[in-house]
Amino acid sequence: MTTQKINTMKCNNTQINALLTAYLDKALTPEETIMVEAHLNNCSACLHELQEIRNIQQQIEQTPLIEPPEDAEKRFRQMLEKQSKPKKRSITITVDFSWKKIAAAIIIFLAGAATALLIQPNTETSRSSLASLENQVSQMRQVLMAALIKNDSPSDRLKAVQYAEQISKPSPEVTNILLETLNHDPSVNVRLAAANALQEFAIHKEVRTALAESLQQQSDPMLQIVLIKMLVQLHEQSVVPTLQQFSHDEETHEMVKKEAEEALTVLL
Amino acid sequence: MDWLSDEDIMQEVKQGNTDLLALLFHRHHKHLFNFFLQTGVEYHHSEDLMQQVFYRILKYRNSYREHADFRKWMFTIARNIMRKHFETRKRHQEQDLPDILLNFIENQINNSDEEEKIKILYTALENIPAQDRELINLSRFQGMKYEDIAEITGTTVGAIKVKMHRAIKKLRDHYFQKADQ
Ligand SMILES: [Zn+2]
Repeated sequence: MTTQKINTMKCNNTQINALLTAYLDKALTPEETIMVEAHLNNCSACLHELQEIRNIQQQIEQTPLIEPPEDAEKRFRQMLEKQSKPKKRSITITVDFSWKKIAAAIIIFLAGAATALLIQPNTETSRSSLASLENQVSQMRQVLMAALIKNDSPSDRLKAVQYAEQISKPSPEVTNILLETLNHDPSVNVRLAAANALQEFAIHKEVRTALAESLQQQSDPMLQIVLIKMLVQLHEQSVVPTLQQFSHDEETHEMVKKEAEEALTVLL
Repeated sequence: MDWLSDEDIMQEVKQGNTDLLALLFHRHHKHLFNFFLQTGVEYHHSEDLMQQVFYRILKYRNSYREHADFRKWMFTIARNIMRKHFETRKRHQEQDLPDILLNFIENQINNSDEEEKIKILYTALENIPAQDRELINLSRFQGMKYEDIAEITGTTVGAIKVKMHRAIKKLRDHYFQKADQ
């Protein structure tokens, strides 16, 4: 077949012609397949093209893959081994770590306070079931939290956030207070704690969306990184535009940029 | 371990059994390596990028969604990493294919007729844009379905049907032009 000969045959249906490769790959809908087959009965140009595509595809199938360097697997295993031995902790883990220590201290304090409060109305509580007991604790925490969060001292507000985390079935009010704290509290530590507490409630879609929205407002790199990590783990797709913005914005902190770019590569 | 699906293994990795990722590396690294090579990444960088893909899978194992197609995820990451690689190296779309692809044929294929054909194919591949090589690679060399390719490249199946044909058309033009000479 010479080039000249090919040029004399021309297909006049570009739309159908564009489907030929997909036809060979069996990727067309039944309707499209019928259309293409009907067209092939009358179009020698397409028939010829189909044959060429088939040839080239066969050629590709016969082309062997190139072997990667022999020690590639060894290198990967070595990297895996290094990674599984805990060494330096990343920023977020350090943050989590110190926060967990604070949290533990507060829980101990809280446990004491809660038992004291619960023991007082002894006759009534002894009769009530465990469920309602838990309910009471939960309610008490909500009240304490609402009161503490208004405090001027960051450590009190930290406690408030910790109360919230302990509430088993948080009311929308609690999540709202936490979101408010995450977005507006002047102390980075309190905001971090709020983010941490909200993670517990992330089964709710509204909370995830709110976390993604919050990322847009945060200016502290540490918080941005923590939120990105959290949202990636939650597969929160709505965060993608913000991440893209971060990766393009020159003002973004280098580490945040890196985090955002990596996150974009793994969010399907 | 062959009876375990990629997805089962990845789920184990996610649950902390990270050593098992070596199995997935073993299964897929050759294809991944060729994906980079055939799109225009040099030999040593292809290995580097391949390691990066698996490092990233390890690092983000928690974000793996249960039952999600592992290869689809792997190629999505691979594609993003490769794009970044081209960007930072400031090379334009028309990358030359690595010499290894052509040299390899001379060393490995005994049949000179076969050798000639593969050479023509690679030369044709070299003459089409990197995005087209990527599509052809995913579809033909990796055997991915159009639905998966659409997801990996962030477009619709309808668009892939047409794009794939355009890519093959360009390849075909170069391929048969050479064969005729
Ligand atoms: Zn036609």
